[in-house]
Amino acid sequence: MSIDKRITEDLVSKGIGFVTTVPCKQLAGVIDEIDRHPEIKHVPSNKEDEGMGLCAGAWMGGMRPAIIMQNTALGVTLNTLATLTQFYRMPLPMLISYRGELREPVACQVEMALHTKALLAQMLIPTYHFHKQADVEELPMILDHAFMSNKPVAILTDANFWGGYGDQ
Amino acid sequence: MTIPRDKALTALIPHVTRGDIVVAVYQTCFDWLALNPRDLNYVAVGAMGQASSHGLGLTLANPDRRVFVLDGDGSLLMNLGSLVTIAGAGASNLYHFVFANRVYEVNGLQPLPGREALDFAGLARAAGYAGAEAFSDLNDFEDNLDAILDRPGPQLAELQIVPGAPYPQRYDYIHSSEARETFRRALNG
Repeated sequence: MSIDKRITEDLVSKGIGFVTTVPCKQLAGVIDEIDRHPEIKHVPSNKEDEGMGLCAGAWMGGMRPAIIMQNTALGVTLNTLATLTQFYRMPLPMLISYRGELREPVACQVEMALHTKALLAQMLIPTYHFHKQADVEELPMILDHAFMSNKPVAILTDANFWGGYGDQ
Repeated sequence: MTIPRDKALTALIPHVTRGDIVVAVYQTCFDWLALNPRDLNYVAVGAMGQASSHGLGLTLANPDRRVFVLDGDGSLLMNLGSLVTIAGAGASNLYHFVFANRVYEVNGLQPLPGREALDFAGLARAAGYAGAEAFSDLNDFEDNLDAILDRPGPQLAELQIVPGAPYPQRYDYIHSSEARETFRRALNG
């Protein structure tokens, strides 16, 4: 099973029926898989904080949500994470492409990579880092953890996890 | 009907005079740099969606120059409020071209949300732009360019585009201090 399909099936197996996405090259395959899955309502967002608002609504409306985004957007979502997701104790699995790490071809991506883990730590957001594809074994447990604790959790997936950028 | 991006950019070249500032982002930027390298090309790729705001800042700081913003549709959707800010600022020297291919091209070709109904020219008019038009035919765009640029801004032209000839993604130049220094020297020299 491809890694994209595996992730999608894990989301479905944990009852996640609503996923919003803001694309990244690394995430193209899993976004396609999610879009095709009949048990997931997929709504692309224009911005990541918009997506978190959607997830809050979906959760309050009775669905289990998740967001798929790039780490570079973390900075613009901090207020939404603090005053919406965390303040109202909402679970939110965040599958995040960890741009700017080893194998990164675009230099400006490195700047937010330097801040990513520090920001997540400052926000007290449980953070997991997938570096090898075998790390995906932990995904179901991480999803359980998010919905048990009613917290946002971050799953950082780096270039090694996705197999590079297709040109290396 | 659609317009190859490089053809739309080539049509713009004779209308860009020596003192004009051009702000371009993502693939449109790479194509523009290859087709029309010039010192007053302003390059900034990183914080997605900021082209229109960069353009307004440059416009306000340089009221005697025209500023051309060559924006992406996915980019503008991340900063849609800037349409209202630009209109409210009365940026009469700003000309905003939205290259609308309805996908996130550099991120994996995912479709834009609501792409079937998206009407950037309509959004710009509603935000208070002095004028806004949409083009899906190259000849039509070429025939109207003089008239658009004769009118005071802010003006928006939405171009229904498809990728044209491929040009290299020169991130090394865009990220270089040389690019910024060249721009500053040309602006102040």
